[in-house]
Amino acid sequence: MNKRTQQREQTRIEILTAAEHIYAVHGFIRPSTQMVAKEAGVAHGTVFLHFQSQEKLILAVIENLGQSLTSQIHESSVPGHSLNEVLQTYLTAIEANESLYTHLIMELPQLPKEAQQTVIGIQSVIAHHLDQVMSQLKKEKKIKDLSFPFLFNTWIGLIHYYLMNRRLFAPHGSVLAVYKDQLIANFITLLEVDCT
Amino acid sequence: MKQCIACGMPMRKVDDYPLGDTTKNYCKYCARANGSMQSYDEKLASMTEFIIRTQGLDAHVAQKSAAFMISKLPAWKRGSDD
Repeated sequence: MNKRTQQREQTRIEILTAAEHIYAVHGFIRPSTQMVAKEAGVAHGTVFLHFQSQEKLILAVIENLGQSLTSQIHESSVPGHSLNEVLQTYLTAIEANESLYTHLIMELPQLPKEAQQTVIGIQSVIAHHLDQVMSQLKKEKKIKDLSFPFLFNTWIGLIHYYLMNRRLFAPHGSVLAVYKDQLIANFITLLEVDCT
Repeated sequence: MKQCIACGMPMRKVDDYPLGDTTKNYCKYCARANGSMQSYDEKLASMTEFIIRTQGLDAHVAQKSAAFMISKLPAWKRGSDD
């Protein structure tokens, strides 16, 4: 890579990092590309040299987030993980990107369809790991015999509810930092077969 | 650690590879029974089925999402343009 290409790549990364920061604070819809340019310390036109349009910049940030979450979940998932560990892995990855992810799910209806597809991609990775551990637990009759989509959507719905209402649950910080462990523990208790 | 070129799954153990063949760059979920790699159409169909089975989505939405997801992977960057 020559110096010019390196500089170009570096500027692209700086714009992406600035956009991630701005969108994590203000959401994807409201901020202007001027705000991103100012945060990145580049001229407004430079943003468009690299991303052509505001929509392309938003999608690049969302794609980066999707890749980061899926690789974190894959890398932290070890064969033979317990249900608790799989759920921990998922929430730890979300927690590290909590603000940006929360804006993504809250603003999905207003975002391009690729944003929705990226969310389904993230969910497919966690579904893959959960499916493996839950299938085994069902065979061993350790969890209730409920359909996988019901279990999966109950879990995702629960987490998204807490994230989307974080002002009610944790107005001054991360909702997952406060609730992660009890959400996991209570979800597992709901699923467990009562042996008494 | 290799990553499956067709679905993105990390391949850590011998059991992750088709018929245990660790020279392959695709995983057991992306292989046919004889160990060869599935075609684009086969992968699209299996990924769509996986999304429906695990997330309960509408079949059309699931297929569009599967096509979008696999279009990002090295094996399908060209095959997904159509």
